[in-house]
Amino acid sequence: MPPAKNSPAPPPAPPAPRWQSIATVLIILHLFCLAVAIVVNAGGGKSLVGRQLRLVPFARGYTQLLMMDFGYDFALGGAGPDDGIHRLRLLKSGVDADADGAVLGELPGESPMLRIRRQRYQHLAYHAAFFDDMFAENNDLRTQLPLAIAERWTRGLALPPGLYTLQCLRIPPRRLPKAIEADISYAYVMREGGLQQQVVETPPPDPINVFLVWDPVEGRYQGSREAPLGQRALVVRPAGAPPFTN
Amino acid sequence: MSNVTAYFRELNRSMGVGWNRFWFTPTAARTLGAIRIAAGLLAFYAVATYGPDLERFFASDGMLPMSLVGSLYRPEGQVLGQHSLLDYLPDGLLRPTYYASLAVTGLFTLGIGGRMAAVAAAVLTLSFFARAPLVIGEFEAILSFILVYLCVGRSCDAYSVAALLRRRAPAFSLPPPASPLNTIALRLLQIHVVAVHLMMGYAQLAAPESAWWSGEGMWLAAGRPGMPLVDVSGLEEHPRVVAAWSHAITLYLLAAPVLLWNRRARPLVLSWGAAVWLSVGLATGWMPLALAMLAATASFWEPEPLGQWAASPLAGVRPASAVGR
Repeated sequence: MPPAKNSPAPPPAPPAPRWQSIATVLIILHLFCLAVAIVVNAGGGKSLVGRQLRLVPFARGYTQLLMMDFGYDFALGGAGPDDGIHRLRLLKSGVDADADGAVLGELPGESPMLRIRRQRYQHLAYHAAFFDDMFAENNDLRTQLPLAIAERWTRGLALPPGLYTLQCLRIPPRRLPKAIEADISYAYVMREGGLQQQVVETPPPDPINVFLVWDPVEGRYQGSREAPLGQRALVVRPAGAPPFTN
Repeated sequence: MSNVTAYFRELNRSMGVGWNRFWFTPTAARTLGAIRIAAGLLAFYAVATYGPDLERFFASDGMLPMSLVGSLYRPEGQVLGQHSLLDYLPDGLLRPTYYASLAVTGLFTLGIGGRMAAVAAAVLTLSFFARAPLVIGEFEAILSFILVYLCVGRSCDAYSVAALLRRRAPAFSLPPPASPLNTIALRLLQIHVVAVHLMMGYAQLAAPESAWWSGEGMWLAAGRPGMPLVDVSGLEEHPRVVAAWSHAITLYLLAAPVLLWNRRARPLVLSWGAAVWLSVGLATGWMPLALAMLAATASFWEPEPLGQWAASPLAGVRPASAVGR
């Protein structure tokens, strides 16, 4: 609102000290970089604006240096496929996971541990599943994290080099029954007496299995991710062939 | 035309005055001192709990070798970016560095060492987070920015061993003056924590399966086995209670960014926030995250009431204009 014609003009503000001008520029730059980090990372980084903002020089590097490169879109809990419980298991190879003694180790395990440690292993298992999905087209990148985990884990358990399976379980969150009553899907199934309604339950996602084989030449494990059911090949050995030796 | 010019001139002047008042009014260090203690204790806890998994996470032959972390988080040629002191440490120095970090964060918590201790504590704590980015989550994200902003202000001027000694030494009885650096630190904390609240509220509204719209959100958050501090599974028969709880949290996250700036509403919103975060911490077991959010939101506390009910020889700072007025 411009001042009235007859009222005295407000006194001019004293000039700001030089350091305040410098601080103002730095504060604006910092807040801009923070805003870039939030826009770039929020919603899984899908924003079209975010894709352009990634190109702003030094903005993301600056926030990454200060560990502020997050979208901060933490929902605290959800019902999505990534919101459940993730768990890593080390299994004997070729043995049913439910058999006694098949599970050599579990992270996070059932044994008591600090919640923050349990949460860290949960994050590790989540990332194993996340990278498995992200690097689906590249087996080397896909198995990079599982192999590193398995190398350290087998050494920690003093297991002899051999055949193992690293399994990443993705357990969906337990829903509140009353909250999902309206969302239950029904399918029509032919039974005796005609078409009948049947509840369709979404099955939990298959565990991610990475088969580990000790490479005596390189002195480390080599791994391959189990292919989905429809993409597996069978090796058929002719009858009378000599037994396979490791 | 002269009216338009006068308008923009007046607008520019008033914005400048407002900006300078918002960012550069000198403030006492009491609020920062309290936040320093909370953040220092949380940083100490965060680093200390890496102890049992130190070699497992940080050793060169651990679960997170540098070759893996580097390929994922350290693109070649990036000048800034995520770096960690632990990237350059040989395995033999891992344990000594771990104990040194605990010592530094302890000194920082006690307010010994001034800004140097603040910077050292921030660098060391963030180094642990940056070296093992695959095992960090919400708690580390919140604690990081608190520690960084505490490096800006003079948080060791209040509620510290230094303040206590200052009060007892007659030669140095004058308390440290209020400083605009404290204001800058508090404002940065306030803006950042407000942005976090807003983004968390947005995330809940956008959560898959409308989990928070239906009120199921807190049930899902509290459903991880082995995590909750308080068992809330009995609420399965009381879905309306769960829904009310979830909606209260979402409403707080969306309302707080606006209401916290209003002085009259601030005490109510801070109390609401305390109830929200403590309930989240107890139900989910994420007490470190809850306490970190409370510490960050404490940036909206005003120094005078804090000094009055927490009158102690450690608060060796003379009163100054409160932040937020």
